Amino acid sequence: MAEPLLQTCALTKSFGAIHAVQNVTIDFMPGEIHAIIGPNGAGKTTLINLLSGDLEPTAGEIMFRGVDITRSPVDRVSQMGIGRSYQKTNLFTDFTCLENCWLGAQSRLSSSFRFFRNALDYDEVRERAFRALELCGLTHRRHVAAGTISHGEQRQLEIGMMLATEPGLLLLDEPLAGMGTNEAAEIIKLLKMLSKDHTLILIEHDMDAVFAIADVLTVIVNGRVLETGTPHEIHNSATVREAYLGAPEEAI
Amino acid sequence: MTHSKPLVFLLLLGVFGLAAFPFAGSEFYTELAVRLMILGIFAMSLDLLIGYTGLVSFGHAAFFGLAGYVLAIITPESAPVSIWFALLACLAASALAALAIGWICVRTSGVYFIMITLAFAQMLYYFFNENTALGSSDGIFIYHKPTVNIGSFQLLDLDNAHTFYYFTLASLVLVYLLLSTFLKAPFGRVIRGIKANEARTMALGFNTRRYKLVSFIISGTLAGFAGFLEATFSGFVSPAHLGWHESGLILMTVILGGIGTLYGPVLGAFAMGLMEDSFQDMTDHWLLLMGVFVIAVVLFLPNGIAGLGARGAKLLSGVFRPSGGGTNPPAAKNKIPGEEP
Amino acid sequence: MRKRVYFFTVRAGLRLPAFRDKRSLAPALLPGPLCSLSSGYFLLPMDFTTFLIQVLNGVQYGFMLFLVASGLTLIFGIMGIINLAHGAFYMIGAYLVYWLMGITDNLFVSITAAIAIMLVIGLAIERFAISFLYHRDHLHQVLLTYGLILIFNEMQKILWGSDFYSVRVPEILSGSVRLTETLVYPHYRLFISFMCMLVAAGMYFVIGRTKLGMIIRAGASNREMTRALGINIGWNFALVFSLGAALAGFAGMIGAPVSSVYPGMGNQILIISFVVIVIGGIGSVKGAFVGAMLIGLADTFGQVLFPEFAAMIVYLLMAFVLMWRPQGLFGKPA
Repeated sequence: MAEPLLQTCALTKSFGAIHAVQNVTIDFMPGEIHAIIGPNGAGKTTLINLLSGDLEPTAGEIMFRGVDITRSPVDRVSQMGIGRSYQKTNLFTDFTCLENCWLGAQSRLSSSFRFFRNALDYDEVRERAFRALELCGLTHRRHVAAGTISHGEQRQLEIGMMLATEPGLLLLDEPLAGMGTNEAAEIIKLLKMLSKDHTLILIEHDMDAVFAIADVLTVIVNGRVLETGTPHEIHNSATVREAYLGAPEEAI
Repeated sequence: MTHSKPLVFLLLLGVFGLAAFPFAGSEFYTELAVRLMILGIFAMSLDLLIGYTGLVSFGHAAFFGLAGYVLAIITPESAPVSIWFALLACLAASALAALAIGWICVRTSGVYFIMITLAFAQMLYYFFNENTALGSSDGIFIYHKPTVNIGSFQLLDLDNAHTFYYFTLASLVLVYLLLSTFLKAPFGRVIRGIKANEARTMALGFNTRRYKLVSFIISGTLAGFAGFLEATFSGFVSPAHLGWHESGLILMTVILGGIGTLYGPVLGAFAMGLMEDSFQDMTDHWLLLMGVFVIAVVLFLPNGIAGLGARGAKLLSGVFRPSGGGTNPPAAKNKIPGEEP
Repeated sequence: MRKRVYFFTVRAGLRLPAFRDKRSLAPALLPGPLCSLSSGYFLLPMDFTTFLIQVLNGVQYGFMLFLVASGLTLIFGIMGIINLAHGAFYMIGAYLVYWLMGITDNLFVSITAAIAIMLVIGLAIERFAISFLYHRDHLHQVLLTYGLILIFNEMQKILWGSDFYSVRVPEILSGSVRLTETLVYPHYRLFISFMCMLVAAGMYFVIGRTKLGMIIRAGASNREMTRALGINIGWNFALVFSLGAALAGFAGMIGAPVSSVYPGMGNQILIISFVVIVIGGIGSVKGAFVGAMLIGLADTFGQVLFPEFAAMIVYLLMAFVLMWRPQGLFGKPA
C-alpha cells in the first residue's frame, strides 16, 4: 500500500476550555478525494486551518510527504505544495482576476525578491496564471476587478488562485458554498478533473456532491473523528446515521 | 505601474519644465525648487511604504536626518570628502537603521506600526539632541559639499548652484525610475498584495514579513538618500531633521499628493512647499494655517492631488466604459492594465 | 551635575516630574552618593532612602503617564481612533491652570474650573473633528489629529508665547517630609501620587461597575460587535473622548507646579504615552497602568544610573517588550 501523503497524529486544538479538534488521527492517501463532513461547529474548518498552517495545534503532529509541518507557518506550508481555498471568499478585491492568479503563480518562483525585470516578462508565471484562470473558468473575466464579479465567480477565483500556486494537495473549505446549481456542477466537474493528478481534502455541506465525488469520507463530531470509510461504508454506518445523518437536515 | 500615455507625456513635460526652470526662475526660487525636489524624493520613498506596502510610518524622518548626520560626521572641517565614500556611508547607515528598526516594526501592524515607528524616530531624535559632540539641539554644520571625482578628474562641481540643481533633478528622475521598476517587478506585485490582503498573500506562499522588511529598508535607504542631498545642499543638519514634525509633514506631503502613485508625492512636495512659502509670507503663525490646511485636505481631498486628477480623468473616460467595473476609486487606482499575453 | 539635570529637563522636556523645583528637590535628588554615582561609579549601590525617593518619583511619574495613556488607549479601544492630539490636552490643562491661577490664586479652584473647561473642549473636538474620522483609516486619523496639534501648539504660542511659566505649589502642600538628615521629599509630590491613585481607583470603579464601563469593556474587547449592537452612536463616544481629554488635562494641571508650563510639553508626553500603551497593549487599561509604571520607574532610575542614555532607555525597553510580545503585555494577539 502507498504511503500516506498527509498524516495527522493525535491532532488537538483548544481555544481555552473549548476543544475544537481533539485527538484527530487521519491518513490522507495520494490521489484521493477525501471529504470531511460533520455538523456545524464540529471543528472541520479548524482542522483545515491546522493543516494549512493558519493555526498552530495545541498538541499532535502533522506530516506531509514524511516532513513534519506541525509548526510550519502558512507560507511555508504553501511553499511545500499544500494549497487552500477559504470558506469565506478571501481575494484581492482591487486586483483583476488575472492579477489575483498572477500573484499565486508568482509564488512558485524560487523567490520574488526580484527587483528589475518586469513581472510580466516571466513567461512561466504567465502560463501558470492563465492555466489557473482557464481551469476555474474565468479566462473571459480576467481584466475585471475581483471585487466586482459575482459571488459564484469569486468562489471560482478562490479556487483558481489556489491552483495558480500549483499545489499537490488541495485543501478546499466549502468550495460550493453560495453557488448556483450550474456553477456548482462546473466546480464539481473541475474537482473531479483535478483529482486525476492532485490529492483533495474537502469540507462540504452539500451531501449529494460529497457522496458523488469523494473516495473517502471522515465524519467529525464535536472535534473527534467518528468514522472514516468509503461513501458506501459511511452511508451504511449505524453510528454515523445516529450521530449525524439521522439528525434531520441539521447540516444542510 | 504601467503608465498610460497621457501620464508619461505629462511626467516628461514636468521634467522638462524643471530642467528649464533655472533659466527662468530667480535664484531664490531655483533654491526652493532644489529643496522641493529633495522633498519629492523623500516623499516618494515614503510612498513605497504607505501607498504600496500598506505600512504607515510616522518615523520616516529618522532615516532622512540620520543620513545627514552621517555626512556631517564624516566630513572634516578642513576638506571635502568624496561623494562615493559619502554616499556609501550615508546609504549604508540609513539601510542599517532601517534594518534594525524595521526588524521590530514589521512584527506589528496597524496602529502599533504607526506608534512604534514614531517612537523609534524619537529615540534617534533624543540621541542626537543630547549628544553634545554633535552640537546637541543646535545641530551641526557641514562645511564642504562632497566632491564628485573620478580619479583626479572632477566630474561635477556641486558648489555650483546650477550643477547641484541638475544633480538633484537627475536624482529625482532616477529614484522615480528605480521605484517604478521595482514596482513592476515581481517584488512590487508581492508588496501590493500585502497591502491589499496580507493574510491571503501569506497563504499563497509568501513570507510577507520578509517582504515588508525589504520594502522598509529600500524606503529607509532612499529617505537617507534624500537626507544626504538635503544635508549637502543646506550644509547643516539638526535634530529637527529627524523629529516628528518632519515625519508628520512628509506624511502630509504624500497624502496631499496622492498615495500609491509615486508622482503624486512629488506633486505634493511642490504643493506643500508653495503653500508653506505663501503661509509664511502671510503671518508668523503660519503653522496655524498649516494645521487648518492639513485638516481640510484630510476631510475634503483624501485621495490627494493625483486622486483629483484621476477622478477628472474617470469622469471623462467613464462615458466610454461599458462595464461598471470601477465605481469605487481604489479599484481603479490598483488596476494594472496591459497584461494581455 | 545639577546643571546637567536642569539641561535635560529643559532641552528634552521629556521628564514629567521634572526636577526643576530646585528649592525643594535638588537636595533631595542629588545627595552625596548620587553625585559620585554620576561621576562614574555606576555600580555603587544607592542607600535605601535614595532608592526610596527614586521609587516615589518613578511611581508618581508613572501615575501621571497613566492618566494620559489611559485616555489614549480607551479612545483607541472603544472608538478605533488614534488621537495624536491627546498630548495637546495635557498641555492645554497645564496652561489653563497657569491662566486660572492668575485669576483665582487657588490651585484647587483652578483645577476644578480647568477640568470643566477640558470636558467642554474635549466634547467640542469630538463633535467637530474626530466624529468625521470613525470610518476613515488610521492614516487619515493620524493626519487630521496631527493638524489639530499644529493648531493647538500655535494657539498656545499666540495666547501665551514661548516662555516657561511656573505654577506655585499651594501653601498647605508646600512642606516636605524629612527622610534623613539631608534628604526630604515634598508633600506636593505625594499629593500628586495620591490624587492620581484616587483617579485611577475611580476609573477602576467606573469601568468595572457602571454601564458606561460595560460599554467600555465591550468596546475594548470587540469593537465591531459593540458597533453592531448599536452602542456606538453619538454620546457614548463623545463622553469617552471628553473624559479622556479631561484625564490628560488633569495630568497636566496637577503636574504643572512641578514640571512647569512650557511650549511643546504635550508632544513629549504624547510620544511617551504611545510607548506606554504599545508596551501595555493597545486598548487595555490594565496594560496602560503596568506600562506607565514600568516606564515611570525605568525612566527615573535610568536618569540616575545612566544619565547619558536616559532619553533612550524607555524606547529600548519598548523594543525589548515588542520583540518578546509584539502585541504588548496585555494586548490580544493579532
